[in-house]
Amino acid sequence: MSQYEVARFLFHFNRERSARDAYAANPRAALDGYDLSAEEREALVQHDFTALYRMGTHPLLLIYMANNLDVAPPDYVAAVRRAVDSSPVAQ
Amino acid sequence: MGEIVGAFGVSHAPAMTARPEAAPPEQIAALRAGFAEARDRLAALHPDVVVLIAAEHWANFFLDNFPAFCVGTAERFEGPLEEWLRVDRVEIAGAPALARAIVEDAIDAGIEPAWSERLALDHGCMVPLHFLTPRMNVPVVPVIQNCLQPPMPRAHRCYAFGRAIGQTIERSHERAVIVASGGLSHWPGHAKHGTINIEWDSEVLELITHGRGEALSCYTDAQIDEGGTGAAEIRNWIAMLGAFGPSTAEVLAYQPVTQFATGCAVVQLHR
Repeated sequence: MSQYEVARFLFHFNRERSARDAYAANPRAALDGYDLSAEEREALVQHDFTALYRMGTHPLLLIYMANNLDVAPPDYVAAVRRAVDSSPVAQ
Repeated sequence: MGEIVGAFGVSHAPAMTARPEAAPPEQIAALRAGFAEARDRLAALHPDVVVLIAAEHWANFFLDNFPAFCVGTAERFEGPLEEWLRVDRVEIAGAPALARAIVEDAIDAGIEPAWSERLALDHGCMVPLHFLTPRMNVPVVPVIQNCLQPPMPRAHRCYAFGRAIGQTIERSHERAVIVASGGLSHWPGHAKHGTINIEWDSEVLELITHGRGEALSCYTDAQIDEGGTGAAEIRNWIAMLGAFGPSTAEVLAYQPVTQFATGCAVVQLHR
């Protein structure tokens, strides 16, 4: 697992229209060039905010990805709350 | 002789421009009224420059190189970075001479800020400018403090940096308005997103209103964290207080807006 590489992808995604366009066209291909575990790759392809939050991804990188994907804020919040609610020690 | 002719602390919750319709009408109306009052007062000051002490949110800096302080020395800046912010993309003039003087004087004072000839302005800068200088026609010196990823500069260091900035302005020939961007309490993007610590916000506003803003410079990281991860941005207000000097404050608006997930404030400092 490399949270650095997850964050690096999201940093580019949120900053660069070309990165967002590439992801929209082919999310899996857009992740080439990032050294990701299979779990991280799948979570990013699916924009699985629950999984990404559980992995410790910086929440602002996630919520801005959600904004860029037109995910409604309540849906994003529900997704990250699932990460906490389903953890062994709920916060 | 230069002068700080005004100082304003304002929240930059992106929902204020991206989805204001989500907020209860009376709350957005109160915030808009506060911002409009601040805008009009700022305009009446006829500043030569706005020194905008702000946080940024993964717009320019990443984990590979993260400055505690960064002064924008460019001749112009573009923003917003975010296409979803619903603020028109615009080019804004910088103030390179003053920006470089801020860096030089800070170094002489024992503070070594980073500086950048290229900064993308995100909502941390653009939301305040949208409300306070909507014509985007006042040159800006963005001063970015790390309020995003620990370890962050301590409150007292931000206050000292602010004091150095204030002294630079006074040595210049500029009429400057300082705008501090960010806060108040919020946990953006977290599972606690939407939570607002009204008590923390009230304490901060109480201190600033009654001339005890310097007490914020003694806040520990833990005291700041009680206001949420987003409360880290109070460092920008602390720097503003350092620059402006002893002062009281007037709260032009305070609204804890759950839909904006932020205790939103518009405040003016007064000597």
